[in-house]
Amino acid sequence: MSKSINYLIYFALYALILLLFGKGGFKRTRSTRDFYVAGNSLGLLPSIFTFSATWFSAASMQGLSGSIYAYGYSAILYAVIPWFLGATFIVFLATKLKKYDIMTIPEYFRIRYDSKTLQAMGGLMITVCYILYIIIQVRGFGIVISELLDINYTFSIVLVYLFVVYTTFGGLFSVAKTDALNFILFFIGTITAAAIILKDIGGITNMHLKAAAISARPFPGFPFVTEKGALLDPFSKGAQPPLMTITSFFGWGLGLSANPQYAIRIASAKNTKTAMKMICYSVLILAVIYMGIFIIGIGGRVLEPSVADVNSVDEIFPYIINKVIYSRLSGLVLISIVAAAISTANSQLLILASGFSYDIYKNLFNPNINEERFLNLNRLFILLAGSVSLLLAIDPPGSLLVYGGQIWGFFSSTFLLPLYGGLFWKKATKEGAVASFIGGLVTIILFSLTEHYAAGFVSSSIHPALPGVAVSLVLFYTVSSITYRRKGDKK
Amino acid sequence: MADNTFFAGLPLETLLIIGGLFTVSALCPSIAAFILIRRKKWHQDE
Repeated sequence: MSKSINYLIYFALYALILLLFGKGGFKRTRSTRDFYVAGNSLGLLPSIFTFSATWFSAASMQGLSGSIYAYGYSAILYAVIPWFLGATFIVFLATKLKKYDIMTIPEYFRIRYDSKTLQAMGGLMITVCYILYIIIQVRGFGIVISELLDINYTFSIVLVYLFVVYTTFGGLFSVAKTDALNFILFFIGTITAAAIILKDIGGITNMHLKAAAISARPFPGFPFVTEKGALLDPFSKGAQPPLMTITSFFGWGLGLSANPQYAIRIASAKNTKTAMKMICYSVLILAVIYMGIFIIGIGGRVLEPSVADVNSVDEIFPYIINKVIYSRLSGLVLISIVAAAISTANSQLLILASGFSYDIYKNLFNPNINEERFLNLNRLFILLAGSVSLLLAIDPPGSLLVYGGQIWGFFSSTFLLPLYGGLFWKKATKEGAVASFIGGLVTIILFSLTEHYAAGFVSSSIHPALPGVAVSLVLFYTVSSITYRRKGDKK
Repeated sequence: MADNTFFAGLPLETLLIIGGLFTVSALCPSIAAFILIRRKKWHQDE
């Protein structure tokens, strides 16, 4: 069987099953609560599937494997460890958040701080950040589908985008069902690819010994030539600045812990204990999958120390599967990469729709909107916002992993303190939350712009989320303390 | 290279820093949940 036919069969089968799974959710969705949080009814297994599938995106599958290929194990310090530490914060969040009967995270802001404005600010933040973040997923499946079906990148992103939009129209019931399929696929795909690579190299010890000897530029456009031993060095022998690696926790780690796409899974789980178990089991399963990704990154580099045909780290994994270790299972692995991107994209489109439709439109302008009209408004917004992401993805960012960390930094600078502070500190006030949100946002924007436009004049060795979180923390504490005391005096 | 390696061809420093932090961070949510559940420090909604 030719390569094209093999790939086409995998793609057709996947597309068919995805559409069937997505259709199921339409029947069950009768209200906004069903649409956003599956009626707060998800049991442990569907919760694990949807939490893990939302987590494991193109940034993990392609961004991380490609970064490990280029930089070595230091990429784990930059991304995976901060992610897992961020998940620990979500466990604490789960202990308190469930007592608020919410459908979106900004709705929690309105209830806790009695502020419709703060809810709308949260909605706006979600809308902008997710439009920008979905570019990562679109880029992810675009690269693979163009490789898989041998079609142009722009055409391939439009093709898969239609599947993503369709599965999101059914709300969280549809998303959770397709997430189960996608989770199983990327789990099998990653382990299969890692096993094939290890078999070709002759074991882990061999892989490390060969990786230590590599000294080459990973691909023509990459800024560094890998030094001997750098792939196994914790900081890539200087290619990854230690300060940037450590401060990435403020972007990736704290950004994950305050991110609505994870926090809202606490609301969709049927109870607090399920939500806590969902986080713990998901992280343990993800740790196993990430070990596969590490092998794909380092092992891929050993098999092909330098690739002439790629332009970014994100193209490495599909290239290795398609060109270096091609077998009858390559189609399955490539589809599993698409599954990782799609499973995150549809969850993010759903959050995006809630940010605009519920937290801004319904909250500020039309609180009594009819339920059916409101659901259709959500679907329309999914289509519109998804299309904006699609257009932006035609000219994608350089590295999915770095770009993703910067966007998550906006959540740590704005959502983190109002969310956790409101739950764990009784003196937190509306004024403190608003000041912290705006202060954190302005700081991260200024810091990112300075880094972008004055590169070379200012140090870019720390993650821009660090100053954002620091300002947010100071403002949250001081403004809340002052206003709480004043309110106490008035009473 | 061989005299610098500790386990499966990996340098000791990398094994301790990256391997150690990866393992601890992956277990962190479970450890936190275990402590919270034992102390019953969560919202009882059942």
